[in-house]
Amino acid sequence: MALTSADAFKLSKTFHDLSVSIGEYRFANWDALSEDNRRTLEDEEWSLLNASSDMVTKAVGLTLDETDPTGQKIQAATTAAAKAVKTLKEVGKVINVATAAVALAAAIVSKDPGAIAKNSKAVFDAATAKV
Amino acid sequence: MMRPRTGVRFLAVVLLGLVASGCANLGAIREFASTSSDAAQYNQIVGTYVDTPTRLMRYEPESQRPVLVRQAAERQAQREQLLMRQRLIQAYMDALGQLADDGLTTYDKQLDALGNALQAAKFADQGEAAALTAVSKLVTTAATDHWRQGKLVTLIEQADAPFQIVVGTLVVIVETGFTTDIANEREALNKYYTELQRTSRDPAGLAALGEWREIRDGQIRDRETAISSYVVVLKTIASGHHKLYESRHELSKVQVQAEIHQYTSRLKEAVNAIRSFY
Repeated sequence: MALTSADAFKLSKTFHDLSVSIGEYRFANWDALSEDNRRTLEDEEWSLLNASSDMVTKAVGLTLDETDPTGQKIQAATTAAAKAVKTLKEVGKVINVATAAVALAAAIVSKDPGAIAKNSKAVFDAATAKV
Repeated sequence: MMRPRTGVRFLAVVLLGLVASGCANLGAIREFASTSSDAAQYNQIVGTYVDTPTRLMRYEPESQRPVLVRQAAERQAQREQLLMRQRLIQAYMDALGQLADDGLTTYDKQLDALGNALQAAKFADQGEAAALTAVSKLVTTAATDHWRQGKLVTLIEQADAPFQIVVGTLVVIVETGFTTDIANEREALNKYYTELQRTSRDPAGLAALGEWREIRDGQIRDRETAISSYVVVLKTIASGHHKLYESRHELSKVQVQAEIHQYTSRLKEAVNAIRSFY
């Protein structure tokens, strides 16, 4: 399945939601988090928000149709990630999910099919790892 | 919805017009076309989308600057294609209005330039590219072949299918893309100000931050309203045109003109909402 503009629009929403969820986690646990962890989470939040903007740009340009497969896998992985961040308690696991999602977004932007597949799996694994 | 009394008044005006002129009075269609042409041209909506990465530089850390610079350039490259869609809708509606008025459609260099630009632009979706070309060719033909009111039905008939694709694509772009884009800007503002407000210990600074946040928040709310009103504009233009298509053999009927007038009223309301911000 090719990644279409409709897929890109959905991904833009999912990356946006993921960035919002991680931000909510960071502010809700502000005092309990170390400065390093706060900084790491914040960096991932901005990267995910910009990944969402990238997906909007691609969808508007309708240029993604030539990219190869994995639209559904990416969507499933990022949706699982957005859900996971809402329930995860441990900061290390939230950072793992965020980092994997940022790497996936970068792979999509660079249109690297191998990296997209690898990072989709990494996001899904991080999101579904036992709490 | 038109109120019953307003509707009766409008029907009376149309009837009087018909009696007085003795020919097909398509005033409601002319007004719908002219309002659509004015409403479709809000290129500030496109500018807001194109400039989002630049506005986000205000909120994001320096480490994200290269990404935002790249995004700003990519959006800039999309500007012309987005504006072209708006210009084509406008040119088509101008032609429709001129034919309804039994005038000659204006042929100018802008029309030529638009046709050439559409051909040169590489639209990724072949269906949309074909629709854009079809509508553009019809507008050009109406001008070069000196079409008059007698050809109005032909224009509506041949244009409706591709016109629905052209407007429909723009609806998806604005309703889904621009809306997510503005949601990202709102979240960027939230992250930026929430962090500053959490870390600041200076009461005067906190008060100033609160005020700035409110101002920026208001600006984003205005853009959100303008975007949603523009979606109403596009959807009303599309549905109004389809109504013309469905009623194409009875365009001079009073009832049809009254219905078209309702689309025009809806357009005017949405345009007023956009005008408050741009």
